[in-house]
Amino acid sequence: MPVYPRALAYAQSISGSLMDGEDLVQDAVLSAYSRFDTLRNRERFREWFFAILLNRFRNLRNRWRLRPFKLVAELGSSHSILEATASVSGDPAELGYQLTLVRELLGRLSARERDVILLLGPAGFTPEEVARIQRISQRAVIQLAYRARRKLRAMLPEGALSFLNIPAPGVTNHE
Amino acid sequence: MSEFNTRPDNNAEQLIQSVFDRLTGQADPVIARLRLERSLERRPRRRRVSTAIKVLAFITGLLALGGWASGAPVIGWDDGQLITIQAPDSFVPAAYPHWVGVFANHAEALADHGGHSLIVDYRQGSDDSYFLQLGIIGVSYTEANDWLRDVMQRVPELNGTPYTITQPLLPFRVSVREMLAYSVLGRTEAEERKVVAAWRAAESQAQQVAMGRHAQIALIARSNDCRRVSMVGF
Repeated sequence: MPVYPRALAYAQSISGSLMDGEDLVQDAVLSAYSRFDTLRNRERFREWFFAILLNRFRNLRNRWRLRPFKLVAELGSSHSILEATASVSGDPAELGYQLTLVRELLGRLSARERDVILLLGPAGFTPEEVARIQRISQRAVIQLAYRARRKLRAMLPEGALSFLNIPAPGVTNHE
Repeated sequence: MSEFNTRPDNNAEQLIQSVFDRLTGQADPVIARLRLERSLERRPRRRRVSTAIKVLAFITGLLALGGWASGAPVIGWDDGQLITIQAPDSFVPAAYPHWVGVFANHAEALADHGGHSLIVDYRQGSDDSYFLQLGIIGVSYTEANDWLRDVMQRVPELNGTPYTITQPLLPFRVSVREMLAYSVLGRTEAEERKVVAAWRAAESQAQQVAMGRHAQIALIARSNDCRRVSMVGF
């Protein structure tokens, strides 16, 4: 599984910006390059690199070099998110529009919940790998994932996906 | 709770997954590689030295310094001369201060040759005869011999008296710091003091000794003649 496309998508998702995501990955690559000797197990390169990527994101955000999350609407109404996002980008089917919406959704999670749900879901890591990246127990990873899922479930109303021209999820979870 | 279905469970996760997939599909490794190469070229070179290398360098430095210090040559003290002279038949221990004075009076010529210490002592032989012992530091065998012959010519009681000159080995402690100082600065006063102290210890057989200065020479004699030696020094 190639690392770069997923790392870039991850960085762009958490930063909510195509350019910031590219800069973040670039920064992480340079950081990884300079301390390649710390990679103990080459089979775990993907974990190692994502841990660096997350660290860089936290450091850069702490230094305000990345644009901080700015909620364009409060959580009072799920529709208000869509409306506020629509004011950023006109076409809901556009990637920019949807990326902004993703940023708004992830911004309503805690940092750990955001990292865990992204790593377990789209990025394709196992709970064991996420536990190593986050340096927490596997049980804590699962708990965080469920908590994030519960919050996310309440964020987008029914019919929002058709509005965004995205097929509905076909599989339900088995909590 | 040990299992977690990672597939999207709700609209928000489905949106996140969909956006993630679109972003993944847009990623162009070629462009990324070009950007990385450009960044590496512009990146200031930082030499990161790991802790292990620093420790290794430190130990290597210590070993090198230790090896050099232990191998630093300390030139032997071949300018220490021990002169043993047959004392005149009239010699008695009570006359010892007289002989200290005699040799002290000729110490100036010794200083002219570079000598810096003169130890005057006496020993009693197995046949109850006496020997005068002079410890001289700072001159070679030839210089010591010339000086003694000159003294013997000037002192009638010693004229024609048999004598021997030997170069005793005097062990003394030298620290690495002193050895380094010796290698860099040459013979130092501190080191000379050590040699004198070793000589005094060997010559006096652990007796107390008196020390004065005469004609730029440290005049060393037995302690019971301390007062006399001091007078000679002035």
